[in-house]
Amino acid sequence: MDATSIDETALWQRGLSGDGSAFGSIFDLHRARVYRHSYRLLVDASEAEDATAIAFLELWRCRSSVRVVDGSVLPWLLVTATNSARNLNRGRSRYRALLDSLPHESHHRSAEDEALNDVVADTQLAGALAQLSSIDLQLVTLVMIEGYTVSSAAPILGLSAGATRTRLHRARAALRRYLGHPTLALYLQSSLGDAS
Amino acid sequence: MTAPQMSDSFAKAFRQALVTHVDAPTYDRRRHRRWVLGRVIAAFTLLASTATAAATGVLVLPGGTQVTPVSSFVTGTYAGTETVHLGPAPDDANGIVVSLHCLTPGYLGLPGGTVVSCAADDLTGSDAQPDFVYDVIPLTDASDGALIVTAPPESNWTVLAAYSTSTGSEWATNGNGESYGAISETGPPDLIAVRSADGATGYIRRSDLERAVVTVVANSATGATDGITGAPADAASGSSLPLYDSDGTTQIGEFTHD
Repeated sequence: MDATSIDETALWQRGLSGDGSAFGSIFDLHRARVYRHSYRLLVDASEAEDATAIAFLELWRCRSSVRVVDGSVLPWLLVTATNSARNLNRGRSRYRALLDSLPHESHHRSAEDEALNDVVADTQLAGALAQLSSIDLQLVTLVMIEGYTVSSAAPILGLSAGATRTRLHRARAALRRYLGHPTLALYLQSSLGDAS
Repeated sequence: MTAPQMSDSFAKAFRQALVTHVDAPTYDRRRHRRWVLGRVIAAFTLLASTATAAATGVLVLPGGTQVTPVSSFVTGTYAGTETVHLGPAPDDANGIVVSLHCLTPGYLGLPGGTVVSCAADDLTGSDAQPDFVYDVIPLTDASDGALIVTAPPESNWTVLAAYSTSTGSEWATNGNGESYGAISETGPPDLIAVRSADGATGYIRRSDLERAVVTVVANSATGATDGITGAPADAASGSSLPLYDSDGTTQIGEFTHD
């Protein structure tokens, strides 16, 4: 466990006791990763902001049952953001008053944004991910995109390690079919960059 | 490579909202549902326990608690956190009966932890739900008759409160030797008084309820999940149980609830 995870463990303990500032710090720690993942799935800046916000609000609502991996709630947040992206209207209705009060900037795309979008938010990739089942998408998110081990991802998803490996193999094959790309790992790397 | 970023204005506003959201009084969701939805098991206890029941001579359910107001009611409309003054307590008072109603989205908190949350959808829309909380709090939670209601500054709400006395009652027994009545502090009777989602009142068998909960929990382990968190769905949702008369044999309908 590194210093960051030790710090996050302490933050999470404070957060569990209802310390709002601790949740604010957890948001600071993970907002970029959760937002980037949401954007990857939704390819829309405002919708990704809402999906990210919902994931953090759910972190508080479900705090008693959140599974922490190596001292971090990030895997849980990523899985929840995945579900939020797929059920955005449901999540929005749960927190409508709060979300409605937040300022969404107009996201005018510059030429740089457009170029960036071609690389980072590949709609082809988003379309391929959208065809996966929820559990497979969560698995691909944690293991293939975010670099968690199978043994770390399995408990989050409620699967055995064996079942996780089998699902991952099938999900990887399905993505390869959808993307038509011979070297999926290279494609993901070129599309998504370093996960850190 | 530059990754997409959440806008600074959104991040700043949401961070503040998240901190405020977490710092707000914790919702006692079980209690919220118990009183607000008016459809779950304890709701019939509420029905038979209200001052109205006592005042109009309606019998209190066996096992229920009869709450009788012993002072005039204090009413008012307030904004934000306020103190409602009830004045000196009568000698026979052992509690305060309170009904709070939201007028705007937000939350209302009573001493002792009871909190009702009122989302915009609770107040308007086709699926609007009752936006009130009913509770009886001990005198010690309102020192010198000062009842403090916690609410965000922008929230508007109304209150109806009076000193009261509460008296418990025993379960009744039908011809088959089965106990029936409201859930009490000692637990549920054999036949539990309920109000169904369609407004019908009657009794469900405790054994039926226990089987239904076990079934739903088992299903949730393999399929039904919350669409956002992936957690098992609410174990109480979607059940339908036979609704009986107090004899426990005459079926008068189906009990369903949210």
